[in-house]
Amino acid sequence: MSRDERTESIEAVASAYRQRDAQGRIHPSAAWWDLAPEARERAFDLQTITREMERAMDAREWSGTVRAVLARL
Amino acid sequence: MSCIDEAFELARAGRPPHFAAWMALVERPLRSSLRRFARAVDVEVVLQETLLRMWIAARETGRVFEGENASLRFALRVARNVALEEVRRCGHGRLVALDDLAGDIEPAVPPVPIEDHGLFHAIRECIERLGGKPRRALLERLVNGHESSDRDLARTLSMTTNTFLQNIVRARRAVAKCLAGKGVPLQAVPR
Repeated sequence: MSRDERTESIEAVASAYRQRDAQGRIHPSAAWWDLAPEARERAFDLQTITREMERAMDAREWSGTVRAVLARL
Repeated sequence: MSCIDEAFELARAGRPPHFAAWMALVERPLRSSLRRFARAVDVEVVLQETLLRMWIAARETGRVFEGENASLRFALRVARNVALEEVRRCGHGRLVALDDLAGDIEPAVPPVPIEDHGLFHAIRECIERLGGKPRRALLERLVNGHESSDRDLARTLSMTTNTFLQNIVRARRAVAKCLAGKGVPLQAVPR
């Protein structure tokens, strides 16, 4: 995996969107499986920053995680 | 009674918006507590599953939450258990410290960070300064990324998924540079 491909994979993992199966189980991002353990830690950091940016852009200051879960209730 | 306890009491009545307000208060400490599992599991999965289980627990009439920040302490335990389930499911136990694999340790309650509206204002200003496709891609992800895959978001903007991600990476670098210019490095994001 090239450096650019790794950067894009980490960016893909930063999304709050996760697929679910028919039983409702949430699945890891497909890109997450391709990352080495060190890159997964960087993806975690990027998730954290992304959630703050989402809060900043939301009138109720709800992150993508909060909105994703709310949509499932 | 802490603000988290008050929010959880309202959430227990079963209204989703009240539960969302509680989630917004506990999301940061929960996510922070899961950092030690980040090499072995997709933390976003663990966090969303934890919050869904808390929605069920909140509405159980017989369940008692006692003491300061009881709902957060309970959620920290649920998060650790979900993380351990995911570690086992992924077969990634070797990537987690042995102490963290033990399931019977009472989790410490991290301090709840104070809301930083200065940071939010700076983020909004820096995003406003972006132009063209990077701006469109980043905004699409930040506003709608919780309900649509990157592939679908990219299609909305008539981009390929790769181009969409490349534009977000460019936008993110520009925002980081802008924030650094304001003396707000992204590492200053509360955890």
